[in-house]
Amino acid sequence: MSEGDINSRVKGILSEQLYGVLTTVNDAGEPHCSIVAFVSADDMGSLVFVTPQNTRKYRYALERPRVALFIDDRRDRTDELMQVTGIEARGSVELLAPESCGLYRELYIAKYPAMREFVDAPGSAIMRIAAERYDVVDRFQHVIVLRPGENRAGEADDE
Amino acid sequence: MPDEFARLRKELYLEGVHANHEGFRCLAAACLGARLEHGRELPPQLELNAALCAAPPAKPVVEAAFERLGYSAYLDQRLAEVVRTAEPELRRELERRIATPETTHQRSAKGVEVVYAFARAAELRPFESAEVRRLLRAGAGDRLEHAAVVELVGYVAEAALQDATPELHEVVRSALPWGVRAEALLALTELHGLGAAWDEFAAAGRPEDLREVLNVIGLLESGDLHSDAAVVQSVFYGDPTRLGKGGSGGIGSLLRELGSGLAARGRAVVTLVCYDSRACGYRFEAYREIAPGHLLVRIPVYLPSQDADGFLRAEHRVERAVEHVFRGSPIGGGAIHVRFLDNASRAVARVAQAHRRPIVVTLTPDPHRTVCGADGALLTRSEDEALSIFNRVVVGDELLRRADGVVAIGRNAFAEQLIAYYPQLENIGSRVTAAIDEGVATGEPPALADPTSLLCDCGHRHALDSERLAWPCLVSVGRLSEIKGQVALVHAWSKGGLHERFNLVLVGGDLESPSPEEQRLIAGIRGAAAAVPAGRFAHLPAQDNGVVRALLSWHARRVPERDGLDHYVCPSLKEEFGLSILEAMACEMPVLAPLRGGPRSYIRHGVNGFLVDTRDAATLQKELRVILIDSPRSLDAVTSIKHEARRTVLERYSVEAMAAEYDEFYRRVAAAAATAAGSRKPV
Repeated sequence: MSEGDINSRVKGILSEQLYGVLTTVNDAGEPHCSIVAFVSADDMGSLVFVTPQNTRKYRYALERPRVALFIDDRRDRTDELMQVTGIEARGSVELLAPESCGLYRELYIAKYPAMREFVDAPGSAIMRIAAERYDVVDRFQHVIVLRPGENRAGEADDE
Repeated sequence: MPDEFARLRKELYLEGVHANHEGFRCLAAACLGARLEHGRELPPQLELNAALCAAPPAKPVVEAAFERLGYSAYLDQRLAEVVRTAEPELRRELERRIATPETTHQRSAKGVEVVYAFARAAELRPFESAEVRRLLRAGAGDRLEHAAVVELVGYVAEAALQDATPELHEVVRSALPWGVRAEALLALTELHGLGAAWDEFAAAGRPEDLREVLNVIGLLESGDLHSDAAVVQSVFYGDPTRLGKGGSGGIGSLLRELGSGLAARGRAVVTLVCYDSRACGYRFEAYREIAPGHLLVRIPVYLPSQDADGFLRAEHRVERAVEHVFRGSPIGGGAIHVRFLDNASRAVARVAQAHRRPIVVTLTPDPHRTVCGADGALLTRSEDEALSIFNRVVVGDELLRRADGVVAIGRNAFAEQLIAYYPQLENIGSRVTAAIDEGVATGEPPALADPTSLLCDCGHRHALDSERLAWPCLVSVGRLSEIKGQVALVHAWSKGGLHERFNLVLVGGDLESPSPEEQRLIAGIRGAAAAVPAGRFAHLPAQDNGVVRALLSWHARRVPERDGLDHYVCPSLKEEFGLSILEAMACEMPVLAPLRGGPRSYIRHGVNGFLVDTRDAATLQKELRVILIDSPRSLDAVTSIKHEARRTVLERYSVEAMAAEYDEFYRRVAAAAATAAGSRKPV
């Protein structure tokens, strides 16, 4: 698969998939996972999600902003295991102030129109992960690393 | 649920092919009404257009398009765009080929216009001075098409052919139409300066009709024009000082109010208006101060027609006219705002970019949302229709790419309308964005001094019988246009029994010297109204905004003697936003507005107005009957709707609120442009 194909495939999955698993780090330094509805932006440079502020993931993300978001296109069919693509995005997360949301809020609502009230609720926070790398796993253990903005893909061992 | 066209746009973007040849072919096929099947060829014009959009197109594609020069304005403009930035070798070859007599003469009477227009648009300079002068002399003697003379004159100025000055003088002193002579005078200012043009003006016997042309240039060069102008907004459809006439509708009203609102906040505004110097629909006046700090400047452009098709054919003329504005004097340093996805906006944006001015684009989902039908499937269209849509979609993408700032009309427009059709918005880079509701004046309207004389004794062909004035009335205000649906409204009113309960008052259009489109619609309206006894229908020409507000307010406040209340009806097939509807709501009229487009974002059916299906006369008739006759609201209910309508406008859609948002937006655009010039990522 060419670099362009990989990029397109990842962008397609990020665009189509509704949910990802966000991994933050808790007070004990252990991973904490939670499901978030996300939208991709800035040509894969950003992943945006919305969370209530009274959640653990929100506090952990603010206190320890290094996070990962895992997205995949599985359909829970055993015969398709080799066809599933998993994507781990890593980066730093930040809270977006209302005045700096720019189009992120609009992109989010365009993908999740039913969540408009949730997005605008006083207790909700719009968070942006500045994605630094994507580890893309397909054919079960074949790993490709993408770095947004650098337009460069490379092969890697399964980690 | 996104329609098929939105899905296609997204697929092409995600696959990274939206800007390559195959992507443009898929887009073109969709405009025709089908997904591109593997191996399928498109009709020739579309195929070539798609090929030319890909950068850089292959040389055979350029040659094939060149061979068809003059057969399609879409192709000619696209080819010119390509040739502008082509390799010098290819440009030289095309210069050589276009200058051959065969190329010129093969195209018969239109040949000169076509090849000179193309040379200008492509910035080629292939023609010998002697040949140009010979043709100009023929033109001055009225032995050439007028549009061809305009192209020759423009070519002389752009190629700096100073030895053609005597021929320019001949044109100025000729009996050719005003627009042609005006172009020659403008060419003289370019070649020899304003002083020499005034000398020629004197030598030509001081033709008064040309004085204002030089006044425009004088104004631009004098520095009297707001050198501190923070915003230049262009409007090519109609004239904000002639609301409701020709192409001037809600957008003219908006630009007038917004410009003045911004000026009141200390942000000087210049509104550039295109004056069609071929049609000369009204007397040319170079400029007018609309309000302190808000100056309207008219620039003459010789247009085939003052619509998207005319701008396509005359894009290079528009560009030159706008270039006059910026070359004369650097008016302000602020943003240039373009509002339509058409070739005129592209010309303005190109000039703005050349002068390193921030470009602001109002992005709309048109024509995108017309590509599919109500069922979300692609609509089958002719090649001409497809070419028009394809062109505007591509121009929209180009404008977005050039933009420093992007405005969406309506607070939810990005999420609800634009992102679906412009998937590239996900990578907006450092561009400044804003979603702004449009606004209308909300102050106390002036009192209507004499409704009887306005509606009954107005001297127009269709006026109300004064004895019928006490009857309830349906009112509709707006420029006359197919898309505004006035003919359908008159049909619906005349055939559905509505005319037995309600009068109908239309306001809008230039009834004294109507444009061709207005003439068609006036005939349609008269034909539909003929079925109804006289005295129940009034058609007033476009009125000053103060009169319109006074009329609406009068209708809103009165209680007719007969059963029923006055209502405002907007029969448009769709409304981008619906300023005339908001104006009626501000005046507390109960409104019936179209389902399609912007009104859905501010009207809650039965709460502050009504939404009706306006797709055709029969449907509109049923909708009006249900609301006005079959299930009429009580007086209390309508009173509540009227109050809610005004409250909606006061809270969200006032001019003041809109101007404040634009003020802040332009401030951010200027700041971003100052700090991040040239660092944008492509969209």
